[in-house]
Amino acid sequence: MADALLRLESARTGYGPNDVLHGVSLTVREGEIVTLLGGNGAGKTTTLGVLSGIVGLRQGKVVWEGRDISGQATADRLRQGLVLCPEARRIFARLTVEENLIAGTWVRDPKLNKAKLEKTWERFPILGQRRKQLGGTLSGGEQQMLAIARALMGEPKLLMLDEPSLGLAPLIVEQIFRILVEINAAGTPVLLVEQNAHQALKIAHRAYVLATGEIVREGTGSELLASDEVRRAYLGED
Amino acid sequence: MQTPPNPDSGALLFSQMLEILINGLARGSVYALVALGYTMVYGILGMINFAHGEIFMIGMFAAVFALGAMGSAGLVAVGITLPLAILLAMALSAGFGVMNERIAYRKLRGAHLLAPLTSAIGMSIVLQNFVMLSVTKGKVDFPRAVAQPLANTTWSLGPVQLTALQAVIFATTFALMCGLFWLVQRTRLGIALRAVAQDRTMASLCGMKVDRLIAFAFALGSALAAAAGAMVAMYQGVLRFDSGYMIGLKAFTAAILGGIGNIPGAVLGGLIIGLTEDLTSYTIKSEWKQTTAFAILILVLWLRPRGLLGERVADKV
Repeated sequence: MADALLRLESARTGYGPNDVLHGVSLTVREGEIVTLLGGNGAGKTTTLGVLSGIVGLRQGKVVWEGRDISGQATADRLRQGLVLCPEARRIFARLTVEENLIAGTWVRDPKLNKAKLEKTWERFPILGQRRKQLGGTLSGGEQQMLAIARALMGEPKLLMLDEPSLGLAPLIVEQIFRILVEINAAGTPVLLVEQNAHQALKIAHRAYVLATGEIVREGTGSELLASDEVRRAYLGED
Repeated sequence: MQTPPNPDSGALLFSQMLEILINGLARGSVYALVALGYTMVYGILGMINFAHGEIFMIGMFAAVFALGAMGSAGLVAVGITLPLAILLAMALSAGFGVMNERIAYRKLRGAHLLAPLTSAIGMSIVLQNFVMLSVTKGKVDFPRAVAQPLANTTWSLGPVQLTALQAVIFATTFALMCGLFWLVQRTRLGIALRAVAQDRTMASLCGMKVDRLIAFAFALGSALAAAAGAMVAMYQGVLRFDSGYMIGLKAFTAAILGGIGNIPGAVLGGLIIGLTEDLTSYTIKSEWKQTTAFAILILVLWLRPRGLLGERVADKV
């Protein structure tokens, strides 16, 4: 088995007097797609916040390629390839598609931008057609593609995504998940936070289930897909 | 009896209009430079920097002192001393702008809108008093040796005269505005500034140092105000610790008129206010110029609350 690329060890954090995460641990290895499932308020977004450095830890640590990076700022983590594509896409509505992508390269060598943009237009032809359009004028699906493409511009060694399927039509969701599989096949591990458990489990190698700030289950994608408990709780099946 | 048609009246009107145009644009382009600072800070923070007029005033004094120092050091070639003085004033005011952000704004970024407003007004009072106590209560003269030759050198533009002083104002403001547009629209740094203005959280997720970019926006706006200050000092010939108040107010008006947060809007607003003032001085009386300028503001805001080029308030530049 490959080495752990990222390890979250007994993470405890919160926003007010109360903790949101009560000792969450998870691992992502090279080559994997790992999904983190859970309902509203389970702590999924907070977990990604801890990993990307926008939420501080009260206890526990973040270990990246064997080194403790708990104290590092977001920009330093980005430089090492830990890239988050956040919830609700957060496209810069009044920057053009191309400018949004360039914003994603802030910590990288700008000399590579031209080649990276060419690659993006190849992978997402629709973004190429709309390169001079303002981000806010794109459809939801196009904005999600732009958000993923912007994250890729940051040259991720691990791509973390927060609910990329949110608010999108089923056909578009399938397309987005296909893109994630392609990105993974091209060598980038993916940590995927989702409420759309069915789709996520189908593409994930491994999965964690988070409930009220604790990991309550973990297993391979197919194990969890077959588990009665998970089916009942997250797939809306009896 | 019929009055014989005056053969000169058409030409006179035309030359008057040209004169108003030149004077108004010179005045307006200075307002525009100052207005850019208001609009940039608003665009990035959603706050009005009420100490901006004082930053302009500090630029005035800095330019005068720099020229004085160079003069007493024997450096007198206006072609060298003037640009150097403007640059020094810009650098000093940029420093004050960054300090202003650090002291009056940074800690209050999440606070209610009235808190930074109050602290900015406090900052404005502090800066005025600082200059009043540390420099002088009275008037300071702009070195005549620099301004006089420029004011006396004139070129004929058809029926009207353009002074070298006005030419310097036009060239400098034009160059600075082009530079700013280029920076904001065409560079990575400009993309980062606009990104911070739109979504600070996402900007920091892109690895941008939000605090530093906000401080940089203050520095840029302050440098532009200082350049304007140097030119107004030269044009008016005298300056005082409270010289920034009225210009600050008018530039603020210009920014609102153009649509606050919108960079071309600030330029447009500045030019309109400048032209209105000169038009009023010629056609009515110069005492009325402020009345008409603010009347136009009220009229525009009545018809178009977001200003001439303003967008929805939620989408800042």
